[in-house]
Amino acid sequence: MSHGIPYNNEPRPDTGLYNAKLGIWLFLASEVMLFGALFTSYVALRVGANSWPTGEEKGLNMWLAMTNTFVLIASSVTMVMSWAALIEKNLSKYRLYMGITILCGFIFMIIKAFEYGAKFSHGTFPREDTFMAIYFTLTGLHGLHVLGGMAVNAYLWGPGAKMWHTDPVRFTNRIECAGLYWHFVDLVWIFLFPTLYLMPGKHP
Amino acid sequence: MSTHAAHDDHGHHHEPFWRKYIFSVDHKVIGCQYGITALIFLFFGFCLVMLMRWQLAYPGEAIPLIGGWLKGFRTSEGVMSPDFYNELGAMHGTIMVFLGVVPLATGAFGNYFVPLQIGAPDMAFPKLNMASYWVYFCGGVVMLASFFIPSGAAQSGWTSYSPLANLTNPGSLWTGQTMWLMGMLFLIASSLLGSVNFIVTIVQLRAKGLTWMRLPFFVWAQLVTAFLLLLAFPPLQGAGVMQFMDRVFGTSFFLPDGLVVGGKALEVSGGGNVLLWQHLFWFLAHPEVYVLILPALGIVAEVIANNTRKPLWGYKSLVYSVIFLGFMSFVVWAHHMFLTGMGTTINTFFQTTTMIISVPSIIILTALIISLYGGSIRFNTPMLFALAFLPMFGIGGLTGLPLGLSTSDIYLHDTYYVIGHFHYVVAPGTLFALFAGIYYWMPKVTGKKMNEGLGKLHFWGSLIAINGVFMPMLIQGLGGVHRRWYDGGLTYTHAQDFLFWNKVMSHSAWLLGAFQLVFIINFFWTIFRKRQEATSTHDADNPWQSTTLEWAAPTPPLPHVNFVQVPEVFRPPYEYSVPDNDKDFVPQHEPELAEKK
Amino acid sequence: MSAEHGDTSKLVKKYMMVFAALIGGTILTVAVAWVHIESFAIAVLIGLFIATVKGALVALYFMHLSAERRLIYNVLILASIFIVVMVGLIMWTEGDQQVVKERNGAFSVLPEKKPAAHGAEHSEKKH
Repeated sequence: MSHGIPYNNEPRPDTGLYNAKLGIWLFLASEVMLFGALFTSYVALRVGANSWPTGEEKGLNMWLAMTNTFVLIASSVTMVMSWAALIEKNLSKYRLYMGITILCGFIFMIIKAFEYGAKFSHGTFPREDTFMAIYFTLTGLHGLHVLGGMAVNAYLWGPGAKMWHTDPVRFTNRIECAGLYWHFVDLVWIFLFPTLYLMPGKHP
Repeated sequence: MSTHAAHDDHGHHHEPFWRKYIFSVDHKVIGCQYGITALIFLFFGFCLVMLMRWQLAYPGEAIPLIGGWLKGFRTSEGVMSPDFYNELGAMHGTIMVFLGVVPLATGAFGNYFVPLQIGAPDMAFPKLNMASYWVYFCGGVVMLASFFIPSGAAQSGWTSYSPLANLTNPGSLWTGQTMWLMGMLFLIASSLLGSVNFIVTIVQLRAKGLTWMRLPFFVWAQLVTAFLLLLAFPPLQGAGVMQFMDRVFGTSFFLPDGLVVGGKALEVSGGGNVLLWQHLFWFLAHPEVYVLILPALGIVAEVIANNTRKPLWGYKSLVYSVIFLGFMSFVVWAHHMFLTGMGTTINTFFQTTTMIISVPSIIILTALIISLYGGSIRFNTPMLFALAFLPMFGIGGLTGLPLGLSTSDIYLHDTYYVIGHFHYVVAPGTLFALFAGIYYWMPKVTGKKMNEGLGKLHFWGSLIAINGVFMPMLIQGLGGVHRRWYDGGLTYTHAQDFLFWNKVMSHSAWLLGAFQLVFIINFFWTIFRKRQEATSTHDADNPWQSTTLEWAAPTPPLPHVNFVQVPEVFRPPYEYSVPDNDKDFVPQHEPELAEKK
Repeated sequence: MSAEHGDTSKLVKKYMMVFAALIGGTILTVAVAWVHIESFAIAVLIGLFIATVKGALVALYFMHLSAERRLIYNVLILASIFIVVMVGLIMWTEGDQQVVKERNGAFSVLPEKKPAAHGAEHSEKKH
C-alpha cells in the first residue's frame, strides 16, 4: 500500500471502482478525443478535396490489414483471458496468455513494418498527398500506442509479475488496467481499418 | 523546524535529499516545485513583454541598458528587429499561458490544496504526480532552448496559425516553431497526466462525510478544470503532430493548393485545410481560457467566504454554473474564427452559444458579489486582491460581449481591444486571484503570514499600474489599432491619434514590473524568516480562522499523510457566524457546536 | 470487478462468443466493401454501424463495461458528445463553406444574397 492511500486496491463503495480503474478510463476518454481529432481531420481533408483515392488505388494491401485486424482481435481475447487466469489464481496460465498477447503485438508491428517498407521502397511518402499524410499519421500514432502497450505488457509478463507473490489483488488490478488500454488500442484499429482501407473513393 | 518533528510518518524517515525534495512523490513538495517554476516563468514571460513595450513606445530606438548585450542577437544597433518582436510576442503568450498561469493555478495550488481540502493523505497517484511535474519541466526546457536557435524561437503567435507557422524556417528539427511543437507535446502530456490524477483524487479520496455539496468551491473549480484539460487538450496534441509532420516531413495537412511563397510555387502536394488547424487549436484553446479562470474563481470564493465571516451566497448556483460553464466551453470555440469566412449560419451558431456561456459566468460573479453583502469584511491583503478581482473580471467579461457577437467582431477582431479584453480577465483577473491565494495560503505552507505593509503596497501599486497597461488597449482597439504591429501603429494613418497611449501603457508596464519586486522581496523574506511560537491567541495552524479542512492539518502538513488523524466531515464548507457558537466559525470537521459560554 | 473462483468458465464462454462475433463482423465489413453501394452516405453508415457494434462488444465484454456503474458511462458519454460536436461542427463549417464558395465565387463574410438573376442558370451542384 503506497502511503496509505485509500481505495488503491479495494473499490470505493459509492463508485464501485478502485483508483487505477477510474484513472485508466479517464485516460482512455482523452485518447478517444485524440484519435477523434485525427479522424475529424480525415473527414475535413476528404470533404474539402476534389478527389479522394481508395486505399487500393494508393497501393494499400487490404488482406494484410485484415490479417492485422484478426491478430489484434485475437490479442484482445488472450489479454482478457490472462486476467481471467489470475482470477483463477493460475500464474502460469496468465503467463501463457499474456505471452501470446505480446506475440500478437509483435506480429501486428511486423506486418505494419512490412507495409511501411513496401511504401517507402516505392517512393510513397507521407508528403505525396493528404491521403498518405493522414494514413501514415493515423497508423503511425496507432502503432506507437501498440508499442507502448507491448512494453507495459512485457514488463508485467516479466519483472512486474513478481508482485503476484506480494500483493496478488493489486497485480490482478494492474493486469485489468493494462487490459483496458490494450482493448482500446484494438478498438481504434477496428475503426481505422475500414476508414483507411475500405472506404469508397471520391472522384469528380 | 516545528514541534511536529517527533511525529513518525509510516517509515518514510531518512529519505535522502534527492528523494525528499527533487524526485518527491509528496503532493506538497510537487506543489511547491510547480509553484516556484511557474512563478519564474511568469516573471520571465513578463520580462519579454516589458521588452516588447519598449519597441511599442519608442519604435526604432535602441533598447536601453540591455540593448548593448543583445547586439547582434536579433537587434541591429540595439534596435529590435521585427522578427525578434514577433518571437517575443509568440513566446510571451505561450510562456504565460502554458508555463506560467496553468501550472501555477492547477499544478501548484491544485496539487497542494485539493488533497488537503478533501481530507486525503495525498493525490491518488503520487508517482504520476511526480512524473507530471518533470514532464512539464522538460517542456519548459525545450521552450526556453528554442530561444537559442539562430533563426529564432517560435514567431507565429502563440496561436501558430498555418500556413505562416508551417512556412517559417521549415525543414530541420531544430527550428523555433518545431521546438515549440515538441515543447507543447510535453506540456500537453503533463497536463493530461495531471488531470487524470485530479479527477480520481476528488472522486475517490474524499474523506468520510464529505459529500459533493459539502465540497469547498475551490475543489469544484479544480474538478471542472481537470475535465476541461482532459478532454480538450488531445485535439491540440493531434494538431501539433500534424503541423510537425508538415514542417519536418513535408506533408500538407494545413497547406492548401497553389501556395506561392517568395514568388515561387511551394513544392508540396497541397490539398490541405488551413482552417483545420484553427478548428483544432481553438477546440482546445477556448476551454483553455476557462482553465485559466476557474481555479482563480475558486480561490476568490475561498478568500471571500473567509474574510466576510459568512457563507458564500448561492453555493448551489455556483456549483451548477461551473459545471454548465465547463460543458458549454466546448461548443463556443469558433467565435475566434468569425472572420475566416465560415459562413453566416455557422457564425450565428457560435455567436449564440457564446452568448449562452456568458450566463453562468455572470451568475458566478454575481454570487460572489452578493456574498459580500452583510459581511464582516476584513481588508487584509488576500481579501484586497480578491475584491479587486471582481470588478476587473467584470470588465474582462463585459468587453468579451462585443467580441462574441460576430457583427461587432468584424471591427474589433485582431485589434488591441481583444488583447485588452483577455488580459483584463487573466492579469487583473486570474493573476490577482493567484496572488490572493499566495498571501492567503502562505501561513499554511510556511507557518508565517506575509508582511501586510508590503502586501498592501504590492496590491495598490499593481492595481493602478495594471489598469494603466490594459485600459488604453480597449481605447486603441476601438480606434482600430491592430495587434501584432511591430511599430505600434506609427506608420498607419488611422492610428496616429492613439499613439501616445503606447507610452502610457509601456511606462505603466514597467511600473507594474517594479511593484512585483515588492512581492518578490516579501515572498522570500517570509520564507526565510523565523516562525513565531503558537500562543493562546495565535493559532499557528489556522491563523485566518477558516472552516475548510486544510487548516485542520499541522503547519506544514505532515509529509505523505498530511493529517495527524484522518478527518471526518460533518458540515458544509463555509459555516461562519453560526448562532450560539462560541467562535464565529465552525470547522468542517467539528462534530458538535461548542455552546456559547 | 473481481469474479469468484468458478465464475471464470462462464466469462470465458462469453469471451469466445464475442471473439467469434468480432471475426464475423470483420469479414462482414470486408464483404460489404466489395459490394458496390450506390449511395456513399449509406455505405459509410453501414460501415460505421458494423464498426460501432464491434467496438461496443469489445467495450462491454472485454473491458467489462457492462459490469460498471454510471460514473464510467457518464465520462464516456461526455467524451462522445464532444467528439460528435467536434466532427459535426467542423463538417458543417466545411459544408457551409462549399455552399458559400459556389454561390459567391469567393469566401465572403457578408450575408449571402441569393442571386435572383442567376437563379435559373446555376445548377444546384451537390457539394
